[in-house]
Amino acid sequence: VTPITLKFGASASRQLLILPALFEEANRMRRFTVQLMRALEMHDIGSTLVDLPGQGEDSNALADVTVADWQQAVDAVAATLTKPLSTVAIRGGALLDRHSDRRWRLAPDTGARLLRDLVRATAMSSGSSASELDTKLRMGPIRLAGNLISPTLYTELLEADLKGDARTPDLSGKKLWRSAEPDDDPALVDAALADIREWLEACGA
Amino acid sequence: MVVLICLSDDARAFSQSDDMDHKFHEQADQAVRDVLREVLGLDSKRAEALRPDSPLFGALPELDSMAVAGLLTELEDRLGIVIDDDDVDAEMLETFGALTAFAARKLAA
Repeated sequence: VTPITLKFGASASRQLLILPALFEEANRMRRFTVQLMRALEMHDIGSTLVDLPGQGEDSNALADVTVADWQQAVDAVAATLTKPLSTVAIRGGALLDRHSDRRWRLAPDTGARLLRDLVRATAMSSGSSASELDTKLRMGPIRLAGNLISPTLYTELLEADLKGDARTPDLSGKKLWRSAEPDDDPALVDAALADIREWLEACGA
Repeated sequence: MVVLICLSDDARAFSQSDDMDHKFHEQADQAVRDVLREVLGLDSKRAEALRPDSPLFGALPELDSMAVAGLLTELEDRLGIVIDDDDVDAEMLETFGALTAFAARKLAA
């Protein structure tokens, strides 16, 4: 099944693959991500955003999804783009950029740290302790902060590390992925745009 | 004479630890304000207006459990502390003062 994608600037000479943030952060970063893609298009840089299985508009149940499924979806979309492959990863999306030739990452984080937030949030709202949740998560699907996560996805994510060299700028702006309410930050979009353009120039693209 | 020296040493040690506590408290206070501003989207004016008895979790509807989890992670990163999940309870999140005091204790530990 071909993953759902959102494309801007399909005819531009330079093309980027955008890897979205994961879980709740995907919602918090959706607006920023689309604003960034629009801004890139204004500078003749096309981009394609993948909807990961079990996230966004994709109809798969998250409980049936593994990291391997996510990687497969990313690779399938990557295969439609010209080489060398340049990726822009937002937060946990950076766990899926290992087959990329050139990597740019916004505030990347390991799977274990992303899970820690979800487990903590669930511990606070459910009354179970974090260690009780960890045990349950290894036995069967558990809803973590609204996401039904299988033991496979849980253990895969616990092990998921960032791989390969990447440009990881420290951009000034709001940490939108932490924002409790949907928010945006034009300054962060501008900063990301400027840094991605500089990165593409430096790569000779 | 010996007694006097001991006393002055004690007094100095006490005032040094007092200074440290004060420093940790100031550092924690600023970090908690900054993180609340980021997580809740407070403007600087509202963040600076927070007082020790300003209510947090439970009183601010936007501060749901996911937001609190993010807030704790940000505090850990900013202050270089580790918050044990067993330390997290309603009491430490009840007011601005309680959360600041908790963070200051972690800094001092």
